[in-house]
Amino acid sequence: MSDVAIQLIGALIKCVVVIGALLTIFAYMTLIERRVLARFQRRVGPNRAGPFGLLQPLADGMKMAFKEQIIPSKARRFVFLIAPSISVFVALSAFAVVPLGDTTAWGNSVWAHALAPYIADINVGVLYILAISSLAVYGIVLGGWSSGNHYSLLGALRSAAQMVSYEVSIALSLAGVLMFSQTLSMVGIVHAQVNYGIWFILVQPLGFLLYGIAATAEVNRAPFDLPEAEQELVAGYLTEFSGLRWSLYQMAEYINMITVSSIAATLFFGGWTLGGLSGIPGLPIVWYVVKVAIFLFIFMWLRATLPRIRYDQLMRFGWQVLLPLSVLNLLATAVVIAFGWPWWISGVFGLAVLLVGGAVYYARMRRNHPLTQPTQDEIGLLLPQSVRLVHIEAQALATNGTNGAISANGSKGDKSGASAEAVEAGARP
Amino acid sequence: MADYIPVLILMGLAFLFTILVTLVTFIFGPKKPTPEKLAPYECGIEEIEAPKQRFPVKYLVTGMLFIIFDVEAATIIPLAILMHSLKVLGLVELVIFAVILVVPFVYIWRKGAFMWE
Repeated sequence: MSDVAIQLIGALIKCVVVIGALLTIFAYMTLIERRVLARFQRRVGPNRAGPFGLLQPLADGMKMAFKEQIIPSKARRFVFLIAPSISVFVALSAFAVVPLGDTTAWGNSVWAHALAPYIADINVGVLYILAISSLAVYGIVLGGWSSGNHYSLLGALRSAAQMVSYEVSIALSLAGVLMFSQTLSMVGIVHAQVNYGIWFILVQPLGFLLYGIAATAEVNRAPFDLPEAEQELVAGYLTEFSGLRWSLYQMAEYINMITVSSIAATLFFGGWTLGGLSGIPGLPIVWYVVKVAIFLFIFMWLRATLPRIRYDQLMRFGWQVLLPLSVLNLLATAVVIAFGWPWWISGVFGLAVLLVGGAVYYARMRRNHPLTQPTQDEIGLLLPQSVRLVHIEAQALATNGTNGAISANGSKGDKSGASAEAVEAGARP
Repeated sequence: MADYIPVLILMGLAFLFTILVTLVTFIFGPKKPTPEKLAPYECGIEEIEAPKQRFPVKYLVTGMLFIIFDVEAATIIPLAILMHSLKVLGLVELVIFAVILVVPFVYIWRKGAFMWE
């Protein structure tokens, strides 16, 4: 067989494997996320279908396939039909330049090169990912707009504004890494890190943090999942979708998560390398998978931990904090490169900015919410001073005796139950 | 150019996959439409008025800002790649470019373009 034919067959095999792997990972990510979130919330999670619930994704998929496709009477039919497909098409395409290993991972023969563990190593790799992933907004906006529904339209508009706001910060925070790597090729960036002997996280700590925040917003994950804010928008742009075409959107979201995690692993954490431990065939892919898995777990961790932020906070944070900081990071890196200073100056600068920023944030937070000593209440509850309302109510109940149960609880000093109530109420105003 | 053929193959397969899913879901899914089912979802109440085809101008402002800064990013990336060989000349270019963008940025900030009420 000629070399070209081998290359084509290799590319075809790799594409089928990548799509199959991404879909399988998506299916099991949903299961893992549900199990992990359940553990965070002291639940068990889905464990009925198969051992450890391993057949749950299969059951979900089958159920989805047999659901009715509802096309609302107000919807614009054609756009409504293709919108989820755009999302998932874009998400799958963006994965093309992510390298899972070196060019010579399987040896030096023609077949080994044709089956190198990435689909394409194009010389504009990072730009390709930025360009393709910014198309993802089309799937969401067209889906929301064509549904003919208030919630969908609002969710789609929010999503569009959010994604374009954070995309600028993504590009600018990656530019710092590109200054050190001097190439846009993903494989080349990993090689640059091997040549420097360090991971670029050490050079660009600020850039990595900015990228992490902006990427979380870009893939609409908590705490930036405003487009799907169920308390205000039902399900955002997903409201009118049903069955498998609904799960296409979910699929796109999860595949985008995998892609942004891969970019973080490749640009900041050395991709498939781990010290000298990348010589054995097959091992590089393991390192890559481990790094991406850690980032995916952090996504779930964030979702379980942080409350959703408000929309005006989101936009102001993106434009007034992230964007100036990423320009600052870019200029500082440019100074280090232009004067030929050693790389650690850039790293120290990034850490310094992070420390100063953290201190300013902490000071502002303390100014708005001063630390107060908990005070002993008359009825024996240990309450922070900020819980004024509950304090008065509890007193009134105790004196009037209108509610025997609560006053009895209070007088007996049932601290755990009553103070939990108090904190809940205190968090609300 | 040969580098891009695998990318095109992946795109083609992804396209086939989306068509396949759409077909599967229309073949297997039941079709029992009722007027209530096809009505826009409004949490159970009847729709008072159809969603407007217009939207708040804030989104348009954000979109225009995005275009400005995305063009900036697209221009800065080649400069970033060449920073090693351009040295101080590259830095001067970058600073001039950044200043040109920071001035309107401060202006629109003071104008309140980032205040979402």
